[in-house]
Amino acid sequence: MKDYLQKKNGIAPLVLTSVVAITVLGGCSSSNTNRSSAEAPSTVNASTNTDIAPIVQTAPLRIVRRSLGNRENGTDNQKVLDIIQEKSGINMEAEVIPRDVYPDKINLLLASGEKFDFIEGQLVNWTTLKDKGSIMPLNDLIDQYGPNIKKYMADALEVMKDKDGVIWGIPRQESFPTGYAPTIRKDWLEALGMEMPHTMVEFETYMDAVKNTDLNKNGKKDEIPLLHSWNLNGLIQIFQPYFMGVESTRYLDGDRVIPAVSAPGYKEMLTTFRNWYAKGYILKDFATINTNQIKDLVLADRVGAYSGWFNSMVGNQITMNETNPNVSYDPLPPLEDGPDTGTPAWGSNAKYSSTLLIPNTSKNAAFLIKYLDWTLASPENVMLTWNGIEGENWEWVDKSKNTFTLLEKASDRYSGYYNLAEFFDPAIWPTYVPADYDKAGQIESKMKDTYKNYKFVEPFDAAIPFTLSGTPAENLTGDGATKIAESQIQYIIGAIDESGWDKAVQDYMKIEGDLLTEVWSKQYQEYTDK
Amino acid sequence: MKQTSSEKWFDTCNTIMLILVCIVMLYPVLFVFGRSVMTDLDRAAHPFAIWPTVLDMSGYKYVFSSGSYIANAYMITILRTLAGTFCSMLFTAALAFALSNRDYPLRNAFTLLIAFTMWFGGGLIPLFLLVKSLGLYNHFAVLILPGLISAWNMLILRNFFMQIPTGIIESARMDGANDLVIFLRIILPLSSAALATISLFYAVGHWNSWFDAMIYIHDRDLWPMQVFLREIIHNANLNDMIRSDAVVEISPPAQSVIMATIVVTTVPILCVYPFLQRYFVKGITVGSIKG
Repeated sequence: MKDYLQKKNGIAPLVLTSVVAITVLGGCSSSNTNRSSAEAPSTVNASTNTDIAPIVQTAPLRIVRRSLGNRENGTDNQKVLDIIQEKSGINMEAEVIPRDVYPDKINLLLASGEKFDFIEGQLVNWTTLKDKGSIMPLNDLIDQYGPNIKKYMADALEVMKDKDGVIWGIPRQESFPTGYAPTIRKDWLEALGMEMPHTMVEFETYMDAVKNTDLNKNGKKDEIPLLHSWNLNGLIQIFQPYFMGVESTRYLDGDRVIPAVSAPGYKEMLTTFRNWYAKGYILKDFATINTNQIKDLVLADRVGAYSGWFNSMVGNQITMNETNPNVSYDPLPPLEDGPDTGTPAWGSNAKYSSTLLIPNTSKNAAFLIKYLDWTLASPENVMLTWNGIEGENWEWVDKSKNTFTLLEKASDRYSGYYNLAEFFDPAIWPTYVPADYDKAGQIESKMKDTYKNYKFVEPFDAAIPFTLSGTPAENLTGDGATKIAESQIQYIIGAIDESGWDKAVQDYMKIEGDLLTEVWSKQYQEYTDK
Repeated sequence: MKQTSSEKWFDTCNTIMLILVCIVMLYPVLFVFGRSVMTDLDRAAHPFAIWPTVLDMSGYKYVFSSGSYIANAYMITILRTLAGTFCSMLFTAALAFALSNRDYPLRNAFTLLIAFTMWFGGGLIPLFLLVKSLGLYNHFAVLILPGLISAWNMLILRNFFMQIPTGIIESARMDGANDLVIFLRIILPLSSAALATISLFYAVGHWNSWFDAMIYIHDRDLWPMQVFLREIIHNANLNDMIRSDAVVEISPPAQSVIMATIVVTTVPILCVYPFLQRYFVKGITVGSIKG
């Protein structure tokens, strides 16, 4: 009996444990079969073609997009896609990756050799992908299939070239590069009997008055003179041109490219923030505040000025107007009394930036370029891909001036899901005119009219493809950057004095700044000598 | 029996204490629910309020307005929770039963191999490559199969099974029961508390899981609810601050969306707890005695 039991006990557990493995493998093998049959191998690899020959698309373009707003849920997405495919003759399918994991997922897809045709260039570093051999050069493809790309993007393509003139992606043209600018409570200015500030002295006088006056009339002096976005970056990004003449993490010192923290004007900027902190002009929690906290403070009627993207306060203003129609966040003009190292301007985006890359596993690259070129062939094509169907989603305001407006709830129906490269060149790209129902659009449009007259200072390094790959700085750990970021906060809150900051900068330069200077300067020279 | 004054005093203090504990427990729940139906202005004016002065359902409208995806995603989540929990329990229990057998010669070797996976993993990219080469990429099964057996849960069940007296199993064998019968009719009924607890672990894990779907699935029709809700929260925060060019949309307050999302996400799984509570109390001690 005992032998029988032992024999049985020896076989049964083996059978039970095997069930797991067999079932898993069985399930996998059937899935594998389905997958293989679903994949249609493409017969075209246009990137290697050198002749202009008719090519046939055998598989749809696989567009890997990031989630953005609600565009991927547009109810007219399929309808618009059908029309685009019919008019352009190019088939495509889009899939969405949540925005915050987009770079990681793209790396996974590239590492696994997955075949797809489109990478959003704004969320990944194209020089890194180029160095890894993960994206393909586009010169030949643009020459063959992109006459409109060459026509409209001739200047912009420069930002996508390496030092050898190879084009690695398609650029985007910003619609409004001068958007990093402060807004100020106009109704509070009026209540204080002040004019719009034009100098730092006037601005600080306003902040002081806000700090010491119960402008929201709640019986407490809880007003915050200046709130800003993105922790300390929200201040630096906007005020750096005033102190340093340009906004960037790098600084051009003669022919040397040095870290901005070691450049003239940087310490003066931090010292100003330090004074603001000591006087209570900026929030005690300035280094950790998040979007929701900002919104709550603004809506609690406590914020006198906001430093961030220019239209950030529009939604809040509309909400506040429900109870107080006088609330208005107006553009603060660039301050004119800056130091010698600065200029009267606010922060800016680069005019051109990377927006579209093609992975080197793509078998449809020629069709992607053809699609982009077709988009740029006429304003109608731009509008179809960008805003959907004329008469249903949008209508011309003045076709001769290339202006349009959106019909009500148009963005819920379609919002540019199949527009792969926004290029706001007025020569081809129509301009939006807000309709009566679009209150936020009207406020924003008015603000843009003001901001567009302000000085635009483009970062000097916007087009330079800096890379640390293959350089002595390749294995830097980032400890220096972490240390200097901490020291910035310590200096502003008064935990270290001026000599402490100077020492922190010296330490940073020893840890990584000097090496970065050497690498950046060399690459800058190579690029400008090109 | 008549209570003494000190006993009454003790009971009163106890009651007050428990009421305070209840308030501490309930306040965050009510706070979340209240915030989900509160306007921005209301929230800013009353930072600690749990009930709105004006009822605002825009957060829920936003959560459920993302086309038909949310309804579909709910179905995917429910399906993965039910199927995933069932399959996981089936295979975990089967494996645990096998490895609980003291006479099984490979018991320790298999146990060690399984325990090894708790300490060392291959990393994300190798796992991704494996999933892809097995044909599981963008397949519903990828939500269930890679995590089919949790080593930790298996070891807990194994230890529980090992506490069942061997005499019961031997007498069943003498009555002619084979391993399958012993497993189904002896082991499982005697382990209801452990099975309920481990089921709850698996169910909650499946319900909350989003990372696997985000990495392995690109077809939005196969995304579970958590991926969409995560995306909604992310987009709501961004829409709050920056308007895109020529995009006319009035977004509801991000805070209402976030709180509505929490309510939508947690209420269904919370409803499962009362049904399993009687098992759960006993089950939390599962495996605490080494076999």
